[in-house]
Amino acid sequence: MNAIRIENLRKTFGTFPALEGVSLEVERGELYGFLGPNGAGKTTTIRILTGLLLPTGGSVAVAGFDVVEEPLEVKRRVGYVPDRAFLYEKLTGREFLEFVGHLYGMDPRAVRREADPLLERFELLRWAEEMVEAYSHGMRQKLAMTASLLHRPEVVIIDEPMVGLDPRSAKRMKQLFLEMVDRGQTVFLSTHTLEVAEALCSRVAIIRRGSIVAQGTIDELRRQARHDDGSLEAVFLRLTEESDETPPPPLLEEGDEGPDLRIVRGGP
Amino acid sequence: MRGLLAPRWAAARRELGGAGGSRLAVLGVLGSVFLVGGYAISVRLLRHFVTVDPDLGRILAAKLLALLFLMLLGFLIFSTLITAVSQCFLAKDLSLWVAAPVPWWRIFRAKLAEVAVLGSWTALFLAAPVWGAYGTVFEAGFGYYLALVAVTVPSVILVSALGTLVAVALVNLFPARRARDLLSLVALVFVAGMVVLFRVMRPEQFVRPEDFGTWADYLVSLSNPMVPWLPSYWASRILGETLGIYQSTSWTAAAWYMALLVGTTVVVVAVAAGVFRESFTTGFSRSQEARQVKWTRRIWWRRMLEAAVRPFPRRVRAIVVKDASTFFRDPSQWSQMFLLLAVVAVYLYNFMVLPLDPAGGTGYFMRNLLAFVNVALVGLVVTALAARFVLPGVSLEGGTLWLLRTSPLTESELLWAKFWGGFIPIIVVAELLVVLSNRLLHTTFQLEVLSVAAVFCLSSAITGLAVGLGAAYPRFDANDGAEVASGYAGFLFMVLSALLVLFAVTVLAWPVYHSFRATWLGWGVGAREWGGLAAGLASVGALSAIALVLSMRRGRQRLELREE
Repeated sequence: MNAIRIENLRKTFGTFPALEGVSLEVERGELYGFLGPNGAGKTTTIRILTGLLLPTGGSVAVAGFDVVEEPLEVKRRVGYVPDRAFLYEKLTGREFLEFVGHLYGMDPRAVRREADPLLERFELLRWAEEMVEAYSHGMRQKLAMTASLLHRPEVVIIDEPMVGLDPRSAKRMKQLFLEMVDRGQTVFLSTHTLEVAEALCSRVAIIRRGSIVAQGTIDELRRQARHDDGSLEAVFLRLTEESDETPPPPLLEEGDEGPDLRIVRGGP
Repeated sequence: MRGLLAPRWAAARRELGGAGGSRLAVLGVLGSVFLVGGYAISVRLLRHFVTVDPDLGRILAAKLLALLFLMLLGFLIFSTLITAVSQCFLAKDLSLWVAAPVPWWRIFRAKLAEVAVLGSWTALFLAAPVWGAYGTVFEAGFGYYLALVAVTVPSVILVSALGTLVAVALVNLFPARRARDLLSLVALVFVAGMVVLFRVMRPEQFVRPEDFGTWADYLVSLSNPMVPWLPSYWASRILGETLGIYQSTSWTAAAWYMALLVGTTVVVVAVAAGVFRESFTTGFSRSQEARQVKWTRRIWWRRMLEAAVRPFPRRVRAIVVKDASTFFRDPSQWSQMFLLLAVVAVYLYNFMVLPLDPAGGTGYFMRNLLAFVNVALVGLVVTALAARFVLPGVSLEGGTLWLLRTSPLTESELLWAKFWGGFIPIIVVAELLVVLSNRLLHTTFQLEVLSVAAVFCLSSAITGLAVGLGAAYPRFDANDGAEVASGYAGFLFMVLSALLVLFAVTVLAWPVYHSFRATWLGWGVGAREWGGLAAGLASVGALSAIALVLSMRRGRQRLELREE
């Protein structure tokens, strides 16, 4: 049984087709990368996987359950971290984790048992009793990540995992992903950080204008792009390039000196 | 100014032009019903004054006009102050404005306009039918309506500038507090203001002429100006003169008070602009400071909360505890409790000072009539509380809704958690009001039972309506609960809730009348009377249950279909 199975997924917003027949399968215990340019349909796909959006057509199953027919079964087995995690500003970090744990039916002791090692790993333990409103963007992201892992989900879906993280936290996050996969959990991550995808993901799918344009291992993608020794960035650019793409206009026209940025010193 | 406020203007236009068009139509119809109803009642009242005794009627009408303006001033001061703190220091677009190369005066001008519009439209809407009635009854010409505009515009600007000035000054005077904490101060100021206002008005005097030595003393007391140094008095004098409400019209007086009003407005706006220029940036910076969690982290608080919600399922419990903790850590939320205390105090004080003969027949009738009307009044108090504290529940989840919707929490569990979190404090307050006021009125046993039961039914239905409509028509972009309450859901809720209360009073009126009569005539309350009361109560209970279930279902369905 696949951890994630998407068949001919379609989604339209009004008349705009955001997804046009997306199909992919993610194996259990796999770290799967989901790449694509801005507005390609990554976040829409993720929001359907997590039950935040309803599909217009096609079928989506996560951990063996259909997201439309049995959404609660899916939600019990999924951990989700959005790209911009809005959290409760007036709760402390620990209270927030207790709250999330209760939503997943955990008792306070179990929450503490699961949360403390994660808080320590993300260097949040000493901030646990502070209100979230005092947290930086990166700290919020790490707290959201901790919250998503409390109930030991079978599938973890992460939208832009490295946004706002300092290099040390980013390294720890990558290490955590690999440990999760070793434990048999499935990680589905959408990212623009191609080095992360290249270094971690066993397979990758690239979406463009609501359709999957390529999927497979990095080597398979290179072959599909006919770019055998290129980096993932080169492959990505090749696969997502627009046929009618025109080069962006120069920032400064010829002869234009740009704004006057000289510093005027005052005083006598 | 148009540049800074353009996004809000465009958003409002889009809201009204798109799916909001039908809402606008509903609001338009309901608003028109209110305006026409309020106008008709006011005309009838004023006509009654001037036809029964033209001289006394005119004095009373002038007094009422002055009272109206005094109340409007109090309302506007509070409303604009709250709006000013919120718009000048807490609005989401402020960071963008402050970071951009926008000169201070453009921010001041835009904020003053926002405060004036957002802080005053409710008051002006409520006052409009009364002003219209004055125009009709006193057969005013075009000059009156022109004067009305000429008085309203500087008054609103004056109070808005005052609100902005005080908000900026307070943020700078109390550096240790965050801007939101100021709202608690604002609420305290409002409570004090209300008490003062209440004493200044001394409304009980007007219905007790026997307390005055002579009839002449009574007339003199009525004719005395009310707080002549306040702009509300100047405004009422200008309108009174153009209406010809006084014995002789003095255009000199009208011009003098107009000059006073405009002059004061100019001075206050100039002072507010000066204070804004000097202190806005430091105040804005201070308002960003984080604060420590204090007593709501104490173990006794946690235990008390957890004990209170123990009977509920774990997920419902989690939401209620979270809501209670965030409520008491957010001064913009808990400071509203002062308002509640003020309402309760004024409410009970009214019953204490009522001039009712405890022994006579009129006294008996009036006491029990008031106790019966009290059911409706408590219903309206519950409506106000639910509009402010319960209705915004789902909207205030806002950006965090992703967390709830990706967890195994069902929409139904979320709404019931919001229901219980609101219902428990509301029912305590409502029943306390009913029991205490019944005690003060020495009402009959059967009415006491009836009012306690009816208020229970109404409170549950009103809380359900608030939760359901708040979920069906949420405003996730709102800055605070007050903004949600003043939106479409709030308006619809107020109307439906008022209709529910009206239905309850209508259904109960007949059996209550029969039980009064039986007691007064010495027949005793028998099975027939009790049966009538039970049937009335059952009708109220049934409609309350239907309202509760339907609104919760509507809220759940809309929330389930909502896509993030």
